[in-house]
Amino acid sequence: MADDQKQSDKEMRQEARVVSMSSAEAVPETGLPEEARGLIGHQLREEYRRVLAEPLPDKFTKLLEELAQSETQPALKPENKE
Amino acid sequence: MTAGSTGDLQSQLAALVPNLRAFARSLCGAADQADDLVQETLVKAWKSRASFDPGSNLKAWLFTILRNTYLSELRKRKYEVQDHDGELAQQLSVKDSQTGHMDLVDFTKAFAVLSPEQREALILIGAEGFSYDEAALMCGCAVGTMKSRVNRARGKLAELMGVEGAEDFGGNQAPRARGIAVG
Repeated sequence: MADDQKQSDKEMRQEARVVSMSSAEAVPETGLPEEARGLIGHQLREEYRRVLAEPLPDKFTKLLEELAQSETQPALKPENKE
Repeated sequence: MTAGSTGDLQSQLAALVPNLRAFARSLCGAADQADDLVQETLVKAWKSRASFDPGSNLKAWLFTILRNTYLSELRKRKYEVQDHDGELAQQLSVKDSQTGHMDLVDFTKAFAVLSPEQREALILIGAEGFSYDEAALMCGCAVGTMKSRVNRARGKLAELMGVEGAEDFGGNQAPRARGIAVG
């Protein structure tokens, strides 16, 4: 409960900051040069693609098969992990 | 739901598992924890598949389930995680006492210092190509908040990687590693 309160306070502060930023023109529109943005974007996509390309462990296919079978076996407990 | 559409959903989910894994890895870093998160997401998605509108974006729906699951777990372990992040951030922002320069780090280390909200904003916009509107909807925030998170995340990365100014580009793709052991 205290956590929820803190979270919503944080969100409100966040909103307030956004409002005040758009009125002041000093939005940290990242005074970044094009090259910096380009470099960051490039490395971000590279890293993401590297994980995308990793071979998929069998456990995901198995899980999806189990879930599909639970259509006919509603008693299946998906939280059973090996 | 017919057997046919069950099979369809199963194969559609299977096709998106690599994206879910990459997104989860971006959020929590550790590979095994990320895979647990993906499995949990798939189970939740399957259980609530009736609430999915087949005309809408399945990837956006799955990503939303995943990030909600991650952030609610993170909130439960809030203090532990914050301490760790704070420590790491402090460690990375310590300036070299000799040169006065900040120790520069590579992309992966810098990315890990960002807040979860900044990480997801960057991934959704910069790597997955969602629009700001879509990403804001998925994360339950205003579009302006999403833009601000992306900007702050980029700014923080540039600062940590030492690529803030144009003079940092000497035709070299790798950020210079001042004060970091090379080899």
